[in-house]
Amino acid sequence: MIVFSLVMVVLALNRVVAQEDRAGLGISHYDLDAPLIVDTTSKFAVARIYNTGNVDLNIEAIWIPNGDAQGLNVTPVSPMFLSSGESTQVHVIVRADKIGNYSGVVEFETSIVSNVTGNPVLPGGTVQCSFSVIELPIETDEDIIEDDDSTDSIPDDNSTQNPTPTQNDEQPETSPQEDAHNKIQKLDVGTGLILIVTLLSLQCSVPILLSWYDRRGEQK
Amino acid sequence: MSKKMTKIVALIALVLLATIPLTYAATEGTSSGTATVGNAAPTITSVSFTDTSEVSKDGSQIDVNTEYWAKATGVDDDNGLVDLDKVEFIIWGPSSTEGGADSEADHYTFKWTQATDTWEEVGPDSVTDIHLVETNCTDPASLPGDFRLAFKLDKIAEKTATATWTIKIIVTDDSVASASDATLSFGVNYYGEITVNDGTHGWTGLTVGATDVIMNNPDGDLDVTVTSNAAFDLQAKGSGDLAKGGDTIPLGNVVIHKDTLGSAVSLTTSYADIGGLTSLSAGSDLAHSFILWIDVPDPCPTGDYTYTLSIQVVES
Repeated sequence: MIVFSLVMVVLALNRVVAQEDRAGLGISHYDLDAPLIVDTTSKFAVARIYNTGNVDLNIEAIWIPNGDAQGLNVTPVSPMFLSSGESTQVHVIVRADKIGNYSGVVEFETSIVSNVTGNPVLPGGTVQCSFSVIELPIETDEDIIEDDDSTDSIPDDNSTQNPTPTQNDEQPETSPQEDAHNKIQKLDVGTGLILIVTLLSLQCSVPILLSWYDRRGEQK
Repeated sequence: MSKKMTKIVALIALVLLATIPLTYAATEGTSSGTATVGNAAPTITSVSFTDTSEVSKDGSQIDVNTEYWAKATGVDDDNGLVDLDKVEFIIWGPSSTEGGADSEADHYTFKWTQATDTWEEVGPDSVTDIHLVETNCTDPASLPGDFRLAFKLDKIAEKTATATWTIKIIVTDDSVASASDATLSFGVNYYGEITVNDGTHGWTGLTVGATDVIMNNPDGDLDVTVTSNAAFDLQAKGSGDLAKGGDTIPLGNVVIHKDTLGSAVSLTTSYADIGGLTSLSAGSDLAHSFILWIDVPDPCPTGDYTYTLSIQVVES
């Protein structure tokens, strides 16, 4: 009976993954901290993921909010398939229903395509995200005059674009300093002309003077 | 007005001084000479830093191991393309300087050479040019023209939360006259990578009621390889209780630590630090291992119980 009570419990892995199969996952974390306007939907990049192993990966992304997340609906674009050596950017679609500050993580769960049995050990990962949901700013008449393109202010990813000047920017009027500078330039042109004339005169007169001087010397 | 007159008089005097010897020489005979064209220094009209879709990344965060383009536009030299010697792209992080030694972590040097019309990675990998995407580098057939460097930072390129990496582009001619621009900058996102060397794990020969049984499949520990561009922690979680049909062994019966049972903590379904494997230094292909122990309940039906163990690397 004692022998029978010592039933062997086997957590054995009779069929294991081939030793050469190595699942690998790399994640470039964007630490997204994005503003949204209430009652809008936006798309944000949250990470770039890399399959660094030698087996293909199925990847599922799951949004896990910190605390109360009612008022913000985050849907990762998932699932994904990544071949060995490939990388891709991961996005979330965010619907903001209520003003407030929200945070959470996007968690990546992997599974490998080959036939795995036993207790798999798999690479995973999480990336942090924060969202600030704000009211649509009310534009005054002055705002409208200053910026007619302000309605397209919601970013669709986390990239920071450098502001570029618009093609139709009006050229500023010349300043008093520029006026004075222009006058000086005009004066310089006049002075230059006088100098050129003087130079030409000298070019003609100096040889005459020199030859006259030479003749006078010979006479003496 | 008197100042202006003074200037005019001075100028006339200068003209007289300059003209008289020439004129006098002309009256005396002929002279021979050469026309020497002086060297003109190269110039750069503008610079840019973009991803491969030509979206600007100047001042932004970028990914490691991903291709980006640094470009010098409107490079010119009045002496022609043949007068250029080289165009250098020096890229360094906040822990290095422009003249620092090349390294995967914080300093890169790339170069186009006019004499050979070739691109090369001067460092850190001058042997295989692994950070240079030569097929996407471009240079002009004549001047003025554009030079585009295509490159990717190493996986361990220093992480910075702000744009504190600098790109400097230097155009040098055969007379060592040069033009340069160091206005481009970027930051680097945190990158963590984990590769699982042991694809599965387990315990064999377990008996009901056994405690603190160390894993023995495939051997006495689990091996992983980590690459990280900042200090990091290793974390683990289980998918849920170990299950065989309707029978289970609680996940909390499995404990984990780098190497010490007394400091091991139970697995949960949320990621938690693996004791002994926190605040580890950044680096490439770092080998780490850890151990799992299990308590078998009593009673416990015979059979194979399974679950999934997930491992992640996070910035410390």
